[in-house]
Amino acid sequence: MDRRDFLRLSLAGSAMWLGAPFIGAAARETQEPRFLLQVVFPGGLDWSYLFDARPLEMTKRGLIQNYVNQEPAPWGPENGLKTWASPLTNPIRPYQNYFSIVNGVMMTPNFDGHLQNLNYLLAGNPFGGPFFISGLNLDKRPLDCVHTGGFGVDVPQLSDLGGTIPLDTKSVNALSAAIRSVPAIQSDDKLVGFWARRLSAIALEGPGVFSNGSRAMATALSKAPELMRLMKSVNPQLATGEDELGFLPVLAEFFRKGIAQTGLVVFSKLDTRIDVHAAEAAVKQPALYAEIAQKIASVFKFLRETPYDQGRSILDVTTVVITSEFGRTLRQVRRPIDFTGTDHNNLCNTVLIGGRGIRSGLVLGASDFQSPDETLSPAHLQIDAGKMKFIGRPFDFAASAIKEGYAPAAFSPRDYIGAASVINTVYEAFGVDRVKYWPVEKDGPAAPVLKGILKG
Amino acid sequence: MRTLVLFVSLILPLRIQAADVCSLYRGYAEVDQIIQARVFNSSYSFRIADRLGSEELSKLLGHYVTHTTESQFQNGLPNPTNTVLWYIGLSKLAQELSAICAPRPPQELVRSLNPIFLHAANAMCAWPAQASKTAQERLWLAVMGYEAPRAELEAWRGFFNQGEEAQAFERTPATEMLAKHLALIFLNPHFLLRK
Repeated sequence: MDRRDFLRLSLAGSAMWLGAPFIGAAARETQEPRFLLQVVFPGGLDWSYLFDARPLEMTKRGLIQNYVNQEPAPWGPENGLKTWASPLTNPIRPYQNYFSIVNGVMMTPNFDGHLQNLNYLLAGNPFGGPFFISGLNLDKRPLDCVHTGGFGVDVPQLSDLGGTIPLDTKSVNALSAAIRSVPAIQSDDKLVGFWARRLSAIALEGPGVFSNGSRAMATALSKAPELMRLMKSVNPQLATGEDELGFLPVLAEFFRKGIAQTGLVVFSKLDTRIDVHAAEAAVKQPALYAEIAQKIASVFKFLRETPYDQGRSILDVTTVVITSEFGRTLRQVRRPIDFTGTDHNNLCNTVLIGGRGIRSGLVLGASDFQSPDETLSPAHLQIDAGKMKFIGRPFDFAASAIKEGYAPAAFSPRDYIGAASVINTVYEAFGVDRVKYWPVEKDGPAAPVLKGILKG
Repeated sequence: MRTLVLFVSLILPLRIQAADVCSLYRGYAEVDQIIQARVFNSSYSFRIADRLGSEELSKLLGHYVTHTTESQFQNGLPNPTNTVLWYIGLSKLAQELSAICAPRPPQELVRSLNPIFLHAANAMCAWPAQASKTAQERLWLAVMGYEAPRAELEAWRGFFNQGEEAQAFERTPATEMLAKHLALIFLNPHFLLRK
């Protein structure tokens, strides 16, 4: 650390402890509000029941299961790319201009397990790592992220979750009550001052594990007075019901009050119902996806109708990303098409993205195998010889368009929209330094940003 | 004091990075066991969840989650929420325990305490007499054991006996002082963090 760094840290540090609540509030008043809400349906969604449907002809030809038995309808802007949407998406139609659809999104191409792909979705690495929200350029708020819903069967291996707090409708009310039950921590309290000094003294003892822990405690303690003050102003009656949707009013209040800047909502109770390997479960998908569509509609309705301030809704100030860890195969081998489950398709996923900084109402990217007679590319057949999966169509990132007529001879993740591009697009919307962008593949360059859906 | 705080604050902006290896909070189950063993006797079952008013909240202090054949320790990385919750739960406990210095200490409380802790804490009720100053180390060892270096004990004792507030502390009632002594042991990282 040189002298300049030392002085910078000294000034920043003293400001943080002595005046953090006030400086934080002033910064928020002058800076445009920006939030992120990520919604995950774990288990691996079959997007052919939502925004990447196929004509019934493909089912008649034994290529893809479809227990809805209704033709899909086109979805997309008049003068732009369209996708086929299942009739189950009808509850979402009133909100179609609140988000864009990114189809043909590749997850981690080498692993098809839930855990590896959840890790990839949230950390950019199939073996886990820092939660991507920790890379966002967050303002100084007491909490970085509020996570509700837990995880499903598989718990991603995320590190750097220090600012991410798991809460649900029950615990948020309990937290509010607990904080109200004691006098708030005051930064000028002598006891608290001594506590902070000991934490700092131990932190300064060296770069060891215990010193790091003490440093983390000191940082946490510096945010505690503001957390307690703000939490006391939250109406504990906002959290209603057991469902993750019941937590959204709390999240909105956390955003408005400046308690947290990002939210992760995981519909974990649906996990085992979504993961339909068994045909007996797969036949129930029409009801399941009607429920999922209703939840997606409810998320956008809530965000649109809930004010952030006098002139803006929560959706106006929040970037929203809705997805799953991967999509699903078209069918299973040696099963009749009218009684088959589906397996994992890590090669093709869909992401709904909208809100702040995002152009809505668009369809970007597409998957292949759109008709029974489509000739699949050699690259597709290289990684899916059995024609059990969709994969994305090669994408021209500079033109923000599908590369029509291009059939790569060999598979390369660089030809396709990947989850890394989606995350980097969010990073771009948040002004994150490009050195933090996720690579397109291991040791590769940063995945290109989806400029076509970014505003401005 | 101000200079000290400025000095102290130098380290605060240094965010714990993912690559760092960082001590986690011990979690509610381990701290419950430690407090049970060092403060109470077997007639009482200590649970910090009772002080927080919620089973759910205690999980935010750090706990094990088992999925199929794997167990993961979650929520142990110090963050503003779990730090506030430790503060709430342990401050309340310190307050409750300090009632032994009340003119008529609750007998139920006295009966629930283990003899070593009770002996040390009772001696603190003489505050600010010299006997209580002598008992400080006994109280520290009863609760902290030998988990912290001697320098931590000296710093803690110095805060009460020689610090800027020492004169004010001399005029503070014993019940309040016992609560302060205990709170600062409970909240010490050597008590709360894994080694």
